[in-house]
Amino acid sequence: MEWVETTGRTLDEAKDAALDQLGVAAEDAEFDVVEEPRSGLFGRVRQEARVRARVRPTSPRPKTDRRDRKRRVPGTTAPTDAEAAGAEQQVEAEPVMGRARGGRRAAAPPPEPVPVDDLADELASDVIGEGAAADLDEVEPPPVKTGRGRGAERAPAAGPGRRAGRGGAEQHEVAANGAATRRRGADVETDEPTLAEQRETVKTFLEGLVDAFGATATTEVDEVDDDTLEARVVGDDLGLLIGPKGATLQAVQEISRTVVQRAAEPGRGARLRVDIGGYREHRREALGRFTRQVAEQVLDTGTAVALEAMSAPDRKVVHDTVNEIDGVVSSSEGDDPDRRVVISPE
Amino acid sequence: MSDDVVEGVADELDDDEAPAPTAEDVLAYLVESLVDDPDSVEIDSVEGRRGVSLEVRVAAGDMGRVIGRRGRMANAIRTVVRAAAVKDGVATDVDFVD
Repeated sequence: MEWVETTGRTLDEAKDAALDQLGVAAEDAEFDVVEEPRSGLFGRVRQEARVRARVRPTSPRPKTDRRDRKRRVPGTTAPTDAEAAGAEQQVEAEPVMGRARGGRRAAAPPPEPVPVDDLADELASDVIGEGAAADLDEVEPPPVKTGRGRGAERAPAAGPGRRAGRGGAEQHEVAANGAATRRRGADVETDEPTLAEQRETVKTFLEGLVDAFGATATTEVDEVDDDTLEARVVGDDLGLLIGPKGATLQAVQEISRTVVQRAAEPGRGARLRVDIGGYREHRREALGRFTRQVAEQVLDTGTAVALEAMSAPDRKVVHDTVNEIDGVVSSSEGDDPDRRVVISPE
Repeated sequence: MSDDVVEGVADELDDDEAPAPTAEDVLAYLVESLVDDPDSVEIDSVEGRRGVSLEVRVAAGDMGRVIGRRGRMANAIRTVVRAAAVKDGVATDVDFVD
């Protein structure tokens, strides 16, 4: 996911600006404060707040390297040097308050060569390393010879203990292997099976809904990226499902999201956009046209124009459109739900 | 006054008796898609002065799911069901009954 960096007089302003750029709500974003704002005498701004933000990934990446660093500190002498170097840099960076974080990150001790045994240990014991641990399992001869193959075979669906007649120890082994493989399937293989499943869930749900409405339509669901699905319901007579100003569509999207989240493993639900009867697409196009009109007006008159309040995704459309036009810039003012875009001459 | 209970979308609805068949269908479908225990979903339609009131009952553990954080799911369900009720030509409201 892409990070964006924004500034503002206060942290909130900087964050708002970032949300505009990302086009998501605050709860879907992840922030990193790069610089705290500092005000001089009489409230004059001496240093703007600076934040880094990105759309929160649905499954946060494990912070393996940070963990490892902590783990390795006691023990050998070599890391101490690295730590000292890091500390030194940190002190240097301290006076520039906000920079401290960046400095520390830059000063991360170089990866220490770790003896292979330790590495294996660490991988095996580290919760986050499960995927890797499972790999190790495959390299080492499995304790019970038949266990591994079968575990892998029936990993995805069947729960442990189906073959009740087996010896206790062996069954245990099978179950453990099955679990490891299953988890690896979810963690390492980039969620492909899960996303496809969720895609089916959305499709089935929307088709059923259209059916219950007594309408006829086709539903297509595309995988926009690794964790985003876009569902499009196309057909005639879908006006009821769109509703005034898209209110029903919005409600349908909300319910669909919940249905998908419920079908997925916790925290692994895909992002989902739903469009019905091309409503969102048309709206996006119309908003783009409208923005270009306003931008031209701003270019002609040299006067900034504030648009009416819009949601974050709509503001993103405006910002993106203005971005493509020379001589005008856009910014957002106010707080949601009254936040509006201002288009000004450059 | 009609008190028929709809259990599942597949069940046949008697159009003469159900005052808001489409709305009931849609409501049943939505709620059953959200709960863990679809078999326990019950919907009663009660005709009142201001149109039809659809009363939803679900298993105790599923109520939170249907209502959602700050009633968001409940409101979304209401919005969609009201849209469906346009087909039935009656005003409807949805009540989630504990």
